[in-house]
Order: sequence, then structure tokens, then C-alpha cells
Amino acid sequence: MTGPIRAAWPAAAGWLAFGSLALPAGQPLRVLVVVVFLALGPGCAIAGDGGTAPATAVISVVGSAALCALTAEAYLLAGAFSGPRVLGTLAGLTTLAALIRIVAHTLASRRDIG
Amino acid sequence: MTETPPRTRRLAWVAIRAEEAAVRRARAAALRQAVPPAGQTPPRPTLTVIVCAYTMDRWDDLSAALASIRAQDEPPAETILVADHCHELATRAAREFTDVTVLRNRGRRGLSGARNTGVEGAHGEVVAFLDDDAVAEPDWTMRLLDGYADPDVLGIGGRIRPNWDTGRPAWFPAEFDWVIGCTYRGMPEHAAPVRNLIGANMSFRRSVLVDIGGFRTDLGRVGTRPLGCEETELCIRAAARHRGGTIGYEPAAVVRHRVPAARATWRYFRARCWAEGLSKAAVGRHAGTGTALAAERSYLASTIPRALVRPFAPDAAPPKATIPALLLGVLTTGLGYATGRLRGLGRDPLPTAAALAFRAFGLLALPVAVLLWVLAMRMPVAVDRMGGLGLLDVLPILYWCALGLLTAGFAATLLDRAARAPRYALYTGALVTMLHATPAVLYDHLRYAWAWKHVEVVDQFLRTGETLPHAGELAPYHQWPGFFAAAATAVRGIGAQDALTIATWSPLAFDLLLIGPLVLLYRTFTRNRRIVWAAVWIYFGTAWVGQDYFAPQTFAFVLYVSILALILDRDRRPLGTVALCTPLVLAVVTAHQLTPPMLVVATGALACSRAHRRVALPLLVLTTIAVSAWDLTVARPFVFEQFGSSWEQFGDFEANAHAGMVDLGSAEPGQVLVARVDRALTVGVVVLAAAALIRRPRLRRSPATRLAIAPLPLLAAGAYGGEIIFRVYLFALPAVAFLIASWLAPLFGDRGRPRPRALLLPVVFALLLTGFVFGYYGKERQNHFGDGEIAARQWLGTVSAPGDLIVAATNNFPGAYADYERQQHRWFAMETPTLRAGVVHDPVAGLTALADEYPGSTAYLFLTAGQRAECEQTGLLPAGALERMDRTLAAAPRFTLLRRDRDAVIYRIDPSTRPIGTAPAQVAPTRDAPARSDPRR
Repeated sequence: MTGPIRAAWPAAAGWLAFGSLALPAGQPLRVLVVVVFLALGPGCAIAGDGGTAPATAVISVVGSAALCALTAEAYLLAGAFSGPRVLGTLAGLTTLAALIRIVAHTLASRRDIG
Repeated sequence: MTETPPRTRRLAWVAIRAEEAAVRRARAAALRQAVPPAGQTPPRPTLTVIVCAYTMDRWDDLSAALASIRAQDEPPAETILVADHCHELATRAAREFTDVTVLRNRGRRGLSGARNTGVEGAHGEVVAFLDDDAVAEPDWTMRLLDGYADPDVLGIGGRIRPNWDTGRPAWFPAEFDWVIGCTYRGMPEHAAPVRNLIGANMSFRRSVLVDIGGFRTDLGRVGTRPLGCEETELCIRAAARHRGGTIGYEPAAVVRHRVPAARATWRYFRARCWAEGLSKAAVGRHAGTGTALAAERSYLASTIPRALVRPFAPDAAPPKATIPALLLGVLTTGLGYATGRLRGLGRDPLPTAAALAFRAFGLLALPVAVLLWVLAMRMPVAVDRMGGLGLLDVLPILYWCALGLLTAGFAATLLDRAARAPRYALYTGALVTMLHATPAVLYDHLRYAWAWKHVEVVDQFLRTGETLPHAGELAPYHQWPGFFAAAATAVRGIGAQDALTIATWSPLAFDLLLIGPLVLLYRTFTRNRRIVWAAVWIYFGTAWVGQDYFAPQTFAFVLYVSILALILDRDRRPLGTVALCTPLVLAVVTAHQLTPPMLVVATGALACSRAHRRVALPLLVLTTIAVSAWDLTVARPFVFEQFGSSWEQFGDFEANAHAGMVDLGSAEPGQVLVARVDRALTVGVVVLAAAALIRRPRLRRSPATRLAIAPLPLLAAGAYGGEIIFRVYLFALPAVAFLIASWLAPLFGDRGRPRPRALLLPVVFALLLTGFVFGYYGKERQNHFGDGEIAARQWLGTVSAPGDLIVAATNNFPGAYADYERQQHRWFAMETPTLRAGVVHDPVAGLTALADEYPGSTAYLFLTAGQRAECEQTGLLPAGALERMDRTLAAAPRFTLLRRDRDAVIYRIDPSTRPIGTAPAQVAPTRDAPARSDPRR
């Protein structure tokens, strides 16, 4: 039953990254947390565990980059770009993806037992 | 082939062994003074039946096989169907066969990997394997399980009868039924111990399989030859591991194996005999010829001579027509075996001292090369003294030693069968690091003016927080802002001042990142990991166009390769793949102009094949709709503005292809050499790929061929600022690299020791890399900026006011687009030939005329070493033109020298005293600018 726990990690990393914006600019911990989340988090949440390990890794990285670009440019086009807004939205999207996966996983488990 | 040891032949062997075991148990019980109850039998083991299938084409056969398992007199406790990397099969089977556990092969593609997956998922104490095109008799499982009464029995197999679609051909001898995977004449007629079982009907104790690590996944196939015998090798290994254990043949356990018409042909007969010979050579290497060939010796000495005589007996059952097949079969198998031995199939990678040294070289070359590179990077390198060949002029010899050693080590690794993916990955990572981290380590500042420009665009977005409706020259960046938006998020997230540090390391980061999608893509083309990694190496050794810096193209290209890899990876549900690809496609569409059309043609090419249509077609539709929607809304101003020039260029293949070529007549000699090597490399890559397609007809059916050809139509679509030929090369390169690697694959050999022609491998790699370093490092004199240039630009920023005009020869200097929305600029060497010639002929008149177009603004002339390098190297201006201009201006009336050092000179152009007419607004550089040598944007 590692599915739901694994799904929750990226969401936790997202909110940690959002929280780390309160740290001073360029602080190593802030850099680490933000870079790890932006590079892996959102993509990891949408990758699921359906594929092989290399495929999941690739989707995590490129999916994160794609979601980050889409979110940030939506704010840019709306003339409302700011770092915390984009990071917060990404953390929210990641959480949403994680919740969907957790619910789907739980339903599937119940069906198996039933 | 399966053969019975002669002395035990025709004995009811299983019964005897069971009796012996009972006697042993009774004695043991007596010794413990405990009499076992009469009639006690060992408990019946539970059984799992495993069926492996890889294609939907045999669905009816598979259904029949599973139905025969359901109809067993003694039903198995569990039936497992392993779908070997076929999503459609797994989905349909899970839906229709509710009584069967359906597993997906998560291991290596192929029968061995699928069987191992089945064993991992099985719960029965005994696992039986049935082919997906075979049906079992109702007493099959009962007969097999009877054999396990003896605890020493490791495995039991049964009889396999051929079930011919078109009837047995008259020429097909029963002694060669192993060709069609069936029991053949010469095998025991009664239960007997055997050396090995046949895959279509065999069973083992699960503990035995788990203990010995399952089937070897490297035996199934070597090159294009369908090698088998993995079950033979497994049986020999199991017997060697479990001394005293035996493997039994029970002819009463019968399955019927379908033989389609295609297998009842001479062609198939010959091919299988040849492959069997090769397989025996491979098994002989693993298991030793004594064991591996004991059965074959008996077969040749006894079975074949009898078969040759039998047609002449008075009551001859087999016709004389079988004699040619008997002779040809023996001969072909023997030749296959001899060839396999000569090629060293299955040879232990460390048989001799020479091979050991060779392997050690493959292992040690990597760390030594990395050490040499680190030492080279610690040496003083005079990057500010680069000449006509850029970095090639100044890099220390140690660097080239490191690169050469790495290449030789990688070639040796490709020839070493024992090498695994991590070693290839480390080699490739080291290559990428050496090639793309070197400038970042050696230079004090970000290289390449375009990278500076993109950093300045990110700065602009950070300053304004929005896209601008009228961004002039930077309009494309504001209308396709995806990449810059992501970069701005990262800069704000980590709290950096600007994107300079990110941009400095982005070539290395993007190239390392690209390894993953490339490997994923190539793994969908081939199962051979050596071809996969060779293709990755060739890609990085030939991607000289330099689209790996801090740019939207780089970002979109990584997404493009990832999307293709996901489309081709059929291990996922089609709908799931489409859903996963959707954000990637949208990011590509909103981040870059050229990549979406490339994606359209590539997905279109893949949608032509039925195998990929279910994913490629929805994505083609999605991409097309998204591109149209974006171009008609956000990007509409730029698209409409560009439509005219694009329409003029449309269909003019030749002019578009040549638009970005350097004019060899006016360029610097070093750059002429660089351009010639670039062209030679490009032509060489195309020739190698074409040769691969000619020499390996199979490759023509590969999706790689379609992906290699797909970008070509884009040549007709426009010159893309002289870039299109290089972009087409870039987008075709991943597939082209695979074609080349596939063609080179026979050089890898089949053993740890290379053959002489394998020397071609490092030679080809070295030649490609030589071309690469010319193309990538040869123009670095223009791309490197010294402290003086940076300091001068910063100083100019302090003395000039927002809105002042900056006049420069070209935009090849850091800060050309700093504070873009507030500054005005003119790059006179990049304007119309008339204006350029006028400035060169009479700098004072030409430049004052330019400045006078902007009344009310102070104009500054800013000339730098980078501009000088670009003008000289590409022939934009005549040699020495900027120095002559500097001398002339020093004494000119309206020019005040503000600063001069080795890297930069700044003049203020004082305003004219006489009134002039209304000045035009900032003039965008015209399209008839001279050709750039540099294919980057």
C-alpha cells in the first residue's frame, strides 16, 4: 500500500517549497527545496506508477517543466506574474493530482477486496 | 533437442524413482523408530500454469490454450497469463479471462523476461509453462504433478505433438520435429530422466527457479538471429545447482502445438537449424560442451543414422523424401554451431588475459578520462586569446587526451557484453559533461550573446510581470513566453538576482536531461541496449548546431523527444499516454514557434502506422488545434506580420536550405575551415543514415526512419531567419543517430574480445566527435566575452539615460537587450547592404545620419571585441573595418571618446546643430541582413 503515501510526497514538497519562499533569497535550503520541487514535483504527481522506472523519471522531469511553464505563462499573460503565485498554484495542482490518485487507488483497492 | 541417457531408456523411470523415494522415507522413519502410517503419500504440490503471450495476432490460439487449462481433470490452483509488453493484449485478457491472473512483463522484453515475471507472480509450488499456441490434453496437469512424488525431481516435461495447419510436408522428418518446437523421434517413449525439457510443455518446482534466478534473458536473441535454448541452459544450470536432482520427461503429459503454414517451409527449416546451431554454441559456452552436447552426440550417433536407413526398410513408414531434409538439417545445424563457436557466442567475457585487459580498459578508461578532464580544467587556459578556430586554439592537450580516452573506453564498453546500463550511462554523462561543461568552467561570464539576450528577456518579465503587446524585436518571446515564464519562476523561487547562473549551466543541464528521453525513445526501437547507448553517444557526438543553450528551442526540443518516446512506448494505455502528453504538447505550443510544426509532422508520420495510431492521432489533432488556437490569439500579431515573408519563401527548398550557410568567400580562413568541417559532418551523418537504410532493409520499417524523414517538409515552409536547415538537422538527428547505431551494431560483436573490424567503431566515433568540436567550439571567439566588455557595458548603462540610442556593429555583446523596453538601438552591420556599405565607406557621415534619426536622444557608439570577432569571422564587414572606423572617428568633430580599452570602445555622438526632419521610430533590422555563420537562435 505504498501508492497513496508515494502520491502525497510531491504535494508535501510543493507546500514545503511554497513555505521556503519565506527564507532569505538564495539561502541553500530554499534553493534546494524549490529546485527539487520545480524539477520533479508536479510531473511526479501526474506520472503515476503505470510505467517503467526510466519512463516515470522522464515524465516527472519534463512534466514538471511543462506544468511550470504553463502555469507561469498563464500569470504572465494575465499580467499577474509573481513567484509565490506560480509556486502556490503548482503546489495546489500537485496536491489535486495527488488527491485524485489517492481516491482512485482507494476505490481500486475496495473493488479488489469486494 | 532432448535426449535420454541410453542405459535408463525405456524404464518406467518416474515410478521407479517414486518407489525408491518411498523406500528411503521408510528407512528414515524406521531409524527414527516411528513407523509411517500405511499408504501415506507425499502431499500433492499446488500448481500454477503460466502462459506467455506477446501479440494479439494469436488471440484465438491463446483462448484455446486457456480453455484447455480450464478443462483439466485436475485444475491448477492458479493460471497466469503474462502479456509481454503488449498493452492491448493485457487489457483485453484482463477483461475477458476473469479466471486468469493477467500480469504485464515488467522485465526485459522477450519470452525469458515474461516467464520470469510469471514465476515471480506465481503462488503454486510447481509452475508449468504452456505456449500460447498450444492446447493441453485433459490429463496434462495430473500427469505432470504425478512426477513430483519424488522430492528429488526438479522439473517434469511432457510430449508435444505437432498440430499442422496444412498437414505434415512429406519431406519433413519426424527426427527434426524440434524445429517446430515439438517432441521428435528419438526421444524416450516412456518416462525417463532427460537433460532438458522443451519450452512448450514443461514444469519446474518454483523454489528451483527462484533459487537459480530464473531464465537467462540474454540468450533469447542475438542480433537478428532467433536464438533459443534458454530452457536448455536453465535445465543444465538447475541440475548443476541441485546435485542429485533430476529432470524428468513424462510422455503421457501431452500438449498439441500449432504449426502454422509458414513453419512448414524449407526456409523456416533451414533458419531454425542454423539458429539451433548458434544457440548450442552459446549454451555450450555457458554450460560447458560436455554437458551441453551430450544429448546431441547421442542424437547424431544413433537417431540420425537410423532415420537415414529407415526409409529403405521393407515396411518403410517415412518416405525417402525425408532424406534430403535430414542431411541438410544436420549440415546446417553443424555449420551454425561451428559459426557460433567461431564467433564466440555466449563466451565468458573473461576467458583470456587479453580479454581481461580489454575489459579492464573499458572499466578504467572512464575514471582516468574524467580525472584528465578535471586536471585540464585546472590548467590555465587563455580563453581571451582564441583565434580563428575558437576554443580549439587554446584547449590544452590534456583535454583532448581525456576526450580520446573516453571515446576509446566507450567503444571498448560497447564490445564488452558484460557491460550494463549504469556504465553506459556514466560514459554518456561524462561525454556530455566534458563537451558542455567545459566552456562554463573556463569562461568567467555567460557565453553566447543569444543566451545573454534570453537572460535579459527573463529580466524584462521579472521587471514587468506581464507580456508586452508591442515588444518589437522581442515580440516572439512575448507571444511564446513558456520557457521564459518557467525560468522566471525558478529565478524568483530561489531568490536569485537574475537568470545568469541558471543560463551558464543550462547547456550541461539540458544535455544531461536529454539522455533520459533519448534512452526511452531508443528503447522503443530496439531491445539491444548496446544499440541504444551507441545511438545516444552518436547523438551527442553529432549535435553540433548548438541548440542546447538557455533558449526556448532547447526547452521545447527536450519536450519534443519526450513526447515521441511516450507515443512509441506501448507499455501504457493509449488514453493514459495521451493524457500524459497533453501538458507537454501545450507547453511546446506555447513556448516556441518552430517545434509545434515539427511535432505535427512527427506525430503525423507516426499516425500513419497502425501500431501507434491510437496515441499519435489524438495528439496530432490536439497539437494542430492548439497551434491554430495559439497562433490566432496570443501569437496573432507576430504570425500575421511574418505571414508575408513566409509566403514568399514557401516551397523554395533550395533557397531556404542555403539561407543560413556562411559565405565562404568573405569569412575568415579559420571559419571557412570550421564551416567546411560542419558541412562534412552533416553530410557524413546523412550518408551514414542512408547507408544504414540501404544495407539494413529492416530498418526501413522502423518508426525511426519515419521520424528521420518527417522534418524534411519543413524545409519548404520558410528560411526561419536562415536557420531552417540546421533545425531540420536537429529534429531529425535523434532518429538518424539511431539508424547509424543500428548499422554499426554488427561491429559490437557477440563476445568480450573484439574482432579486428571493431576498430572501426572508435574511429567512427572519433571522426564524428572531431566534426562536433569544430562545429561547437570553432566559433567560440565570438561567443566568449571578457571582463572588459561586461565592465564597459555596465559603465555605458551608468552614463546613458533610459531612451538613449545605442549604436553598435552587431548585437553580439552582453547587454544588447538590457532594459529593452526603454532603450533604442541600431546594429548597423546587420542592416541593409546599402546602409552597411555607407557606414564602412564613410563612418562619420553614416553614423551621424543614423544618430540624427533620433532627435532628442543622445546616441552612443559601442564597439566591442565580440562584435569585431563576429564581423571578421563571418565576413559581415571587411577585415579591419572596425579598427579603421575607430581611427577615423577619433578625430571626427561630433564624436567624443568616452572610454577605450582592449575589449571595448565607447563614443558619444553629439547631437547635430542643424534641424532635421521627423525621425522614424526604432527601425527593426531588415530581413536582407547578410547570412550568419552561426545557426543558433
